Amino acid sequence: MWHMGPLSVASRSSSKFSNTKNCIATTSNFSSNLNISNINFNLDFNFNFNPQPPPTMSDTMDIDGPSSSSFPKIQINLSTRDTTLSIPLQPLRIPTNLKRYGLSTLVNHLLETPKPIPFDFLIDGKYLRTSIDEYLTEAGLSSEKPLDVEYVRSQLPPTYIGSFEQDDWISSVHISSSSTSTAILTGSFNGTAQITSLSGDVLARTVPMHTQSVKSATWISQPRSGTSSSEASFLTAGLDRTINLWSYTPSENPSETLQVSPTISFISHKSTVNSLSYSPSTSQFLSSSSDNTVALWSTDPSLLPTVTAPQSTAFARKRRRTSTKPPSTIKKGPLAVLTPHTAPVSQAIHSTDPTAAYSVSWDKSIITHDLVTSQTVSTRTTQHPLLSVTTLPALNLLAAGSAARHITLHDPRESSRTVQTAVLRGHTNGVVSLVRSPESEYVFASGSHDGTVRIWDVRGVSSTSDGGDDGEGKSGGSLFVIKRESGTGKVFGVDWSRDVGLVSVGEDKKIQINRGEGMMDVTVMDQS
Amino acid sequence: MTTKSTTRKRSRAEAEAEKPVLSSEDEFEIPEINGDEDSSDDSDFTAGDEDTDEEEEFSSGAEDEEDEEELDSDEVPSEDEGSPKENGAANDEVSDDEKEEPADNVKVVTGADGNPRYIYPEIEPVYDSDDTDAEETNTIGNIPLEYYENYPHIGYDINGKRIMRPAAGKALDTLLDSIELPKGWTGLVDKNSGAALNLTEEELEIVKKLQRSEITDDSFDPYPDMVEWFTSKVEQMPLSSAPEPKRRFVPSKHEQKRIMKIVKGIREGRILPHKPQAEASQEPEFYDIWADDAPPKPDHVMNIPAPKLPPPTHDESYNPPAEYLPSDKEKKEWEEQDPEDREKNYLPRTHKALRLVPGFNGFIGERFERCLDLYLAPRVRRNKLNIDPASLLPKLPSPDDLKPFPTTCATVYRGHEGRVRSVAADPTGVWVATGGDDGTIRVWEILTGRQVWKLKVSSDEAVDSVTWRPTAEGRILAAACGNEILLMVPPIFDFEEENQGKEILSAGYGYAANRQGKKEAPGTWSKADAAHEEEGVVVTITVRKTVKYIAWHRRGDYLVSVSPEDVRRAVCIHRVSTHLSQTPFKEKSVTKGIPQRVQFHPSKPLLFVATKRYIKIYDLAKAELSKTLKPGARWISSIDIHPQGDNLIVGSYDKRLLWHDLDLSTKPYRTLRYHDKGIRSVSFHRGGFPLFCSSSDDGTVQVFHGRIYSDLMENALIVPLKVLKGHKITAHLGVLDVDWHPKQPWLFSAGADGTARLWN
Repeated sequence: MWHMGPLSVASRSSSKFSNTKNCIATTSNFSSNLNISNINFNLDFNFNFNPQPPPTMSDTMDIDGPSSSSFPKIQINLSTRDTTLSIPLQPLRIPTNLKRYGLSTLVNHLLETPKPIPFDFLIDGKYLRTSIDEYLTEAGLSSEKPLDVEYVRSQLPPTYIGSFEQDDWISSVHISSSSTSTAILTGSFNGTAQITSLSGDVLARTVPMHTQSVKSATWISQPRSGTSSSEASFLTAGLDRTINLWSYTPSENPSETLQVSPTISFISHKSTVNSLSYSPSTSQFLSSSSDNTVALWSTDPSLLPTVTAPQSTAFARKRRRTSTKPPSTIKKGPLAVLTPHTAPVSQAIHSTDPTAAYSVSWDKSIITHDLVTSQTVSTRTTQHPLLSVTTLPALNLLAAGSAARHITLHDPRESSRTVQTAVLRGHTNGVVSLVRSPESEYVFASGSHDGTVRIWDVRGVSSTSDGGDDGEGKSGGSLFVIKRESGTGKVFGVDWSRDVGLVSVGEDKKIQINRGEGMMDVTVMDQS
Repeated sequence: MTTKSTTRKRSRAEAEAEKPVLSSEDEFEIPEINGDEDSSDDSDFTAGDEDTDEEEEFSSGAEDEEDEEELDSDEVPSEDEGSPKENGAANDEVSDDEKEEPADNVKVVTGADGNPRYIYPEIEPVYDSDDTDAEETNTIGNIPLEYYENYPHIGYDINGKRIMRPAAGKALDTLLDSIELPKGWTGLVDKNSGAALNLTEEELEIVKKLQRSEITDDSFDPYPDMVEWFTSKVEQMPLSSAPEPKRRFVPSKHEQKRIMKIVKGIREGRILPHKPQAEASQEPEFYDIWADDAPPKPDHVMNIPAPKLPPPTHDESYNPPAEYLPSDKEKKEWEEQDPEDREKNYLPRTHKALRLVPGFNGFIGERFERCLDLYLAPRVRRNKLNIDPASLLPKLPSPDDLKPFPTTCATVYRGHEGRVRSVAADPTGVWVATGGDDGTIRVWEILTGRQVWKLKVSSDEAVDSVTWRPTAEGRILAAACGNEILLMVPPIFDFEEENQGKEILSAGYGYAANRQGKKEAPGTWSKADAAHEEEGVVVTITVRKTVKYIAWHRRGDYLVSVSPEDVRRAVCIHRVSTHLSQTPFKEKSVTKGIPQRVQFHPSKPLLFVATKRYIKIYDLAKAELSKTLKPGARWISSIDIHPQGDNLIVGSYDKRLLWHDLDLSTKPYRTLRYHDKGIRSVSFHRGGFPLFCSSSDDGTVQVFHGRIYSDLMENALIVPLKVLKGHKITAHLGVLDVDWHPKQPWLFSAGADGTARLWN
């Protein structure tokens, strides 16, 4: 394996002693190493060092590719934000006909990775998809100047794995992310929630407690296979304004479909509950509703006030009599109701700090709440009605999907001056669901009513692109676009887990699973 | 002889000049002198000989030259020559002795030496004979004068006498002479005589005149008196009263003769009037190859010269440079373009040689097109107006500056079978209700497009109009189906809200019971039937004819309905709180036209009734007609009032959208003709965005920016923003109804294709 250490030693020794024999020895040593590496990595070309290191060896390493004679060389500075993958900063001279694969092989060499990691390369916030030469031509850059290249773990294109069909539109999806067993919780527009295994078996279905569509469903405690006693619980909420807590014990027989009954009903909202967000550390959850409120609840019923369901008039009672009698539950009220919004609140999420929460609304604002005091910490007003939000904790950013077909990145901290740091364009309809990648803190996925799921990389946000009317001068495009296998239909929810991949649900009544090939390998390598 | 005498005379004169006698008087006194001298001559005669001897002595002795000379010059010639003459005269008697000789007037006397002496007669001192001023001729010949430098004389005259050196003053005299330059001094010395050559008075005068650039002739007068031959003065009377000569007005016969001669010559071919110029052919010939080689057309009103084609460019070459060749992408783009949209009607192509260029395959087609052009589009001379077309356009802001406004279709609400007649957004902005030809009322979730509630009202009648009660409390939906108006609370709301709405609706039952039988009411209020009641319908109002349109009052207590088929009671106002219906107009005052739409004013107690041609504004408080608007449309389809209440938009089936400013006049302020077919519905945004829209049977919804300024002097700004296309035209019907989201710049449209759409 050649890497920086031996090389520098060799160059120093050769220059020091200027001994011909020594030189030959080192060069032959290199070539033998190279051969080994070629075998190991099954390279499609050889890297050749300049055979004689010049008497005054500069810091720059010269690398030759195949038929590189016709191509000029360019000096690049490789860098990464991933500390585990960092290499010593050293300028390299590479032929400009190298493409991503060549660069990736080079970085793998430098890293001495036992198994090659696919890398992607960002130059000035843009993914390198052509050869460097073509990039330079397109960007109008000279090969004389050194190029700063950032390498990132490659986000593999998510290929279609499969899909499971249900009998109505699916509004939301949540994957239980335990390592041993995987269950996909989906909320359906027919008023039920379903738990589906990765093999497509419906493990459980809720009883028709919700009189109308379920808009949101989220796991609270996750099922573990093996131990039958382990109880899982989840929340659902929907158009009928109530939130229900369900407990679920996985059955021994996976083909059997369990009927799950609710234990607690949470009643406060006067209109559709749009989203639920559960924080395991505090056992609290947030719900956002079209009645312009965000409610804070606890999963511990003893902490909540008991309420009675609103009295229905004769007309309402008559209507309800016709439907099947729902099971009776404990009715509980909220810990707090946050009402700073003036329009339907589309989503409320917990911050990394469990006492803080963010909510986005159709009134175009992102509001930071302090859950302890139920006060509004800050309000950031954007240009468009917002439909979804997710945090990018490593970057201190919030990504918000808007009804105006784009995703905006915001810094929610009080200290930041700008309302909006970047605009990601590409969707052709409202962005209703955002989920961050389990693998990279820079990557997240978005589901939109235009029927696509797109994967974005925050690093791929270029400052050179036109900012548009409402951007702050930065915008970017998506890495990948996942379309619905069934054709068209809105996407209502996405979730992304390491084990399952990217799961999206929508109007086509299908749970669609996509996964980047080779992701598992990366995962394994990371854990080792 | 003459010379002799002259020299003698001169020398005598000089001698006399020695005497204190005025030399000038010499000549006049000559006779006297002569007489005197004659006597003296005789006495002097002998002395003359002595003188010569003395002369010789003097000549040997150089000193005292001048004195001697003076004496000499005086004495010798006078002695010498004067004496013979006088002698002759005196010796006239003596000469007889002497034989001979020459002329009779010459006396010959015998001299002292015995030789005959010829005594010539005295010369008459007439002017001619006077040669005193003749120069003494030096006879030394052509020898340099300096040979005589050492001698007192400078040569010999014709008589062999010495010519004495002219007196030259001493050095002091010379200096004095040089200081006091005599008049006419030139500094020149006569070569022959050695005398100073001075200019005479006349000569000096001539020189002066030359210096002054004057004519030297004294006789010339440079400033003669002017003789005015031709005066500038116009005489009052002609100098001559003779009649005009004939030649002034009769053609000249002579000239005619000459012309006829030429004409005859031309006719006979002797004279060629325009001889071809031989020189022209010799010049090298250059041609302007770009010049139009067609012969110039006669100058005629209808003659329009063909436009000059631009010279060919590089890409028209058979082998253009590589940069002019299109890339594959450009080629594809070009091919995909519509032939009319193409910038060029050819693609640059390269051929290795000119002979490899194929024939033009579009030849026939192009010829045909040209002929068609000539046939269909004859060129017409048109007076060119030199106006920049851009300056004619009103200065409107760019639509980009007027964001947000709906641009794309976000959601399609699918479910209705048949046309969707009406669409209405819930005041909270969460739900949207539609009514359609299938007799159903449906409520949808706005963003997801999920139908959350449906009510089948009728199996054969269409739901023509749905509208939400525009108040914060009590979610009440009114729908018109057939001749019934249904007031309902869809069971999608919170129970509290639902109950509240139902209470509002059922509060008027008692009133209705009290009033019954009093008067024939235009509408009958009744409880909904059981099937409907379960679905949330509370009250049904039955009127006589089909209700086409219903509209709420802003407070939600009154509901106005239009049944155009009912001639007498087309407009009914229904009061929810008392369950009463009434017609606002007395039967007489009912307008002639058929009411199409009605609308309450958003703040004042005014009712707008749109008939086919006019819009009548009734003051409900005073119960009178306050104003009639004349939009000029043939058939008004819909109206909407701006939320501030001072402006009105009118849509008409004759494709026009009319903006009325109620403050201005009864005529529309602005007419917008953008639709291809009749307008079905118009709507103002009521949530704070300055937007309005119109929907049409051409399947489009057009969105406009309509800003109203608080300044009364400033008229409304109307900017067309966007044409929303998406609805399909079904049976010649396009978009039947539009409504705005109450808070967002989102637009709902109901189409004849069975869908409703959300645009954002």
